[in-house]
Amino acid sequence: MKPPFSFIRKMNMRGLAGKLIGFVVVFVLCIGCIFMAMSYSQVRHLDDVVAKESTAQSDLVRNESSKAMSDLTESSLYQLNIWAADKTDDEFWILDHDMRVLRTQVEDVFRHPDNYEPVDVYPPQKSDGGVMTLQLLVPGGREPDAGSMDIIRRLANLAPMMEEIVRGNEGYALDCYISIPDGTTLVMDDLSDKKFDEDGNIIDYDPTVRPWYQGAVRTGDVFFSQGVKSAFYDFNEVVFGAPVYVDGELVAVIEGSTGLDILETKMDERTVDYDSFSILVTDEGQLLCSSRKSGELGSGNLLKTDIGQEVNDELRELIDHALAGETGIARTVVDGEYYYAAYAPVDTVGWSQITFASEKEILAPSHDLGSQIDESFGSMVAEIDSHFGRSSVFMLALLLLIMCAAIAFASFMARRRVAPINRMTRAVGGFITDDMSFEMEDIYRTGDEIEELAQSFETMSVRMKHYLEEIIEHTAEKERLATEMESAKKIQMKMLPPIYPGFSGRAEYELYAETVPARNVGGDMYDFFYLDDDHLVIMIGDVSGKGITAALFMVLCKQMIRSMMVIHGGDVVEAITEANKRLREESVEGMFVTVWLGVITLSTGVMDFVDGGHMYAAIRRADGEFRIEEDEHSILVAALEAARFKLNTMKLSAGDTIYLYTDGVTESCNEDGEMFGEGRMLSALNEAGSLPVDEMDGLVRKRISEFTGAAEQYDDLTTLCFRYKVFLK
Amino acid sequence: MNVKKTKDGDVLTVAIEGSLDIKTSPQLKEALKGELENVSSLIFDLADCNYTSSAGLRVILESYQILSERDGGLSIINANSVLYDTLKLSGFTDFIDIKRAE
Repeated sequence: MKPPFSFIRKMNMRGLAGKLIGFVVVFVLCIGCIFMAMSYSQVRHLDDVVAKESTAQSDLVRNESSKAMSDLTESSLYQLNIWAADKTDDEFWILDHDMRVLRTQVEDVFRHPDNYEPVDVYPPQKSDGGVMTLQLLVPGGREPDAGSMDIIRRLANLAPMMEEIVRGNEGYALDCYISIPDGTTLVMDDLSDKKFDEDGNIIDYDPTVRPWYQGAVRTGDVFFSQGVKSAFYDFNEVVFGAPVYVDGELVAVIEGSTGLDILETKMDERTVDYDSFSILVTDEGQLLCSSRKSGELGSGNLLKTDIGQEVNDELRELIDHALAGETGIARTVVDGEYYYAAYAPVDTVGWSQITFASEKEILAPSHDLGSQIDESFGSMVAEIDSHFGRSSVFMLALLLLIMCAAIAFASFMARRRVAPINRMTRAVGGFITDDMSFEMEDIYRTGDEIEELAQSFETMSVRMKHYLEEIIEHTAEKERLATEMESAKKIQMKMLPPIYPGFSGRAEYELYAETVPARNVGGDMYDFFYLDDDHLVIMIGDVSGKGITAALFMVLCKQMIRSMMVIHGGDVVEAITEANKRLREESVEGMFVTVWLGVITLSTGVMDFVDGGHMYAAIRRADGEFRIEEDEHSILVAALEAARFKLNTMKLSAGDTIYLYTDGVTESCNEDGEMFGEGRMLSALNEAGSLPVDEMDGLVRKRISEFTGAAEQYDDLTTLCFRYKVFLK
Repeated sequence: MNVKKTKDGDVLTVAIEGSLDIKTSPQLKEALKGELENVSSLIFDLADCNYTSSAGLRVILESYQILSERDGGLSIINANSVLYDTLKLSGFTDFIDIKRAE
């Protein structure tokens, strides 16, 4: 099989085949486009669904995991804080316990001083810095009295226990004092060197004004102070004291202190990994410790008397709840960020420990998870899109392939379908130019309209052949006829008498006559002849009708009238009466002839004439104008056998002119159907004046021709003009 | 051109509407065919006839010729002045009774 596209080039692409292919192309394109559009919208829809799903999923995950995370955090934070607060409380309880134990010992010393040997005690020495030493401090620089010194020396036996308190608390206890009401104090710590000022003097220390002393005395029990600045050292501490009573009398007050830095360190150890911090708030609302460096709960606000004043409302409310001794957890705001805050009481001192954990950080993992899900969905969408991109390229290629296949198929089918039409087109084309034959062939038997069309063409072809043959015959016949008519015309013309030479250049008269038939042969006639030397006969006539019949009858009439005139010796009435009878016999179907017949006696100028149904003559008397002169009219000739004809007589003078004509002259029509008429004829004649009669006639004919213009000549134009010149005596 | 025939006993009246010329006179001839043998008198009513050429005159003449052979009569009525003059010029007024239109 030939390559599929070769016959596309051969076919006329503007013809049926081209249209068919065009239709197929458009159809395939439309289908293809619709399909592509549908696919595209499906993919878009899929994208939407995926996007929505993704959002829903990631939101769900975020929310669920956030919730789970926060729930988890809340409960663990809550537990953690309780544990941490307990731990803090444990330390304070130990300190509290240590105070109580020491108090008992001190009480015993006072009750049974004899059990205790006095021990020497000395003021602090700078060189003892860093070593646990028992030191003696006396306020005001005075010497203590003997009684005080005695008891002090005995109290010095408790040094080991005091040392134990300081050493044993993992750094929680900084020092341990025992003061008697006069201010003399026993100090146990390793900070001997810190008690000196720049000048090397021992800093004055009055225990009775210190918060631990005053608080212990006021409460009558172990008393923990708020955070205070140390007397000797430049750090902050919590000091605590306990009064010792013997028999209701205050005998001593013992002291311990703990640095806030150690508290803070211990607190920090007990927090969780993420962005969290703990604070310790005293019962009076003082921010004692905070592992936060800045902001509302930062180190800047440490030791302020009421932290509640420094923080936002939500936080203040939380702190209030905490200081009420409650245990709980709440979501709150610190420095503009959300935090979870778990609070628990530190029972020993009546304070509260609050642990904060940043919500953002807690929820970070679930946000990350959410982001991961988004990403994975995002990449899913990208995957879908790229897949769609690839497959649409594939689709396009497939579409093109289908289109090519469709064109090939359409071309093949078109070729087969169009073949009979093409053949027919060529055959009919040939039909017109060649031999007019169209024959039915197998290629046309397609069983559809093509077959019917071919049948019709065949029938038409046969008929056309016949018509053609007939036409050829008729044309040949017509040509023969035309040739014969030509001959007949020549004969007829020959029959009319010639002017030259016999009737021109005469002294007695001027004579001119002419006829122009409407068809080849006419029904008008004229005649002139000499009866004898002195008598000239002139005649004009019009046979009813035109063509061959009229022409034949005309010939007969003319000859008849001439014969009769000769026979009757110039008696016009007799001649015409007999001619009438004879012509009546010859005439058929009501044929008649109008005749104007006259004879002129040349010597006298007398003219006798008969007017048998013919137009009146136009006559000009020598110096006048042409006028239509009415005469004694007779009936037209060959109508009635018994017709009677009337004689007219006229005397002509020299120069008188007679113009005879047939109705073809006056009834010549122009294109508007207007007739030339007598008026225009007379004008023309008068315009001619004294021109020679042939020129006069020529002028009239010229005027007629001008008048009729392009209109066809309807009737024969016949004229005869006679001018009498000499009146011979 | 229309031809209307009215028969009243053996008198036939033929009314001619329009113009009688070489194209229309065969129509008149056709209308008169077979009638002239059965009438004693023929009347041409030219009230609505405006023109006649020699072809028309021939038909009239022929009718006259046929009728006069059987001693029948022919007359023309309601001829307008143009028609009357034509008929007079042809001499028809000498042997046919022609009445002008009023």
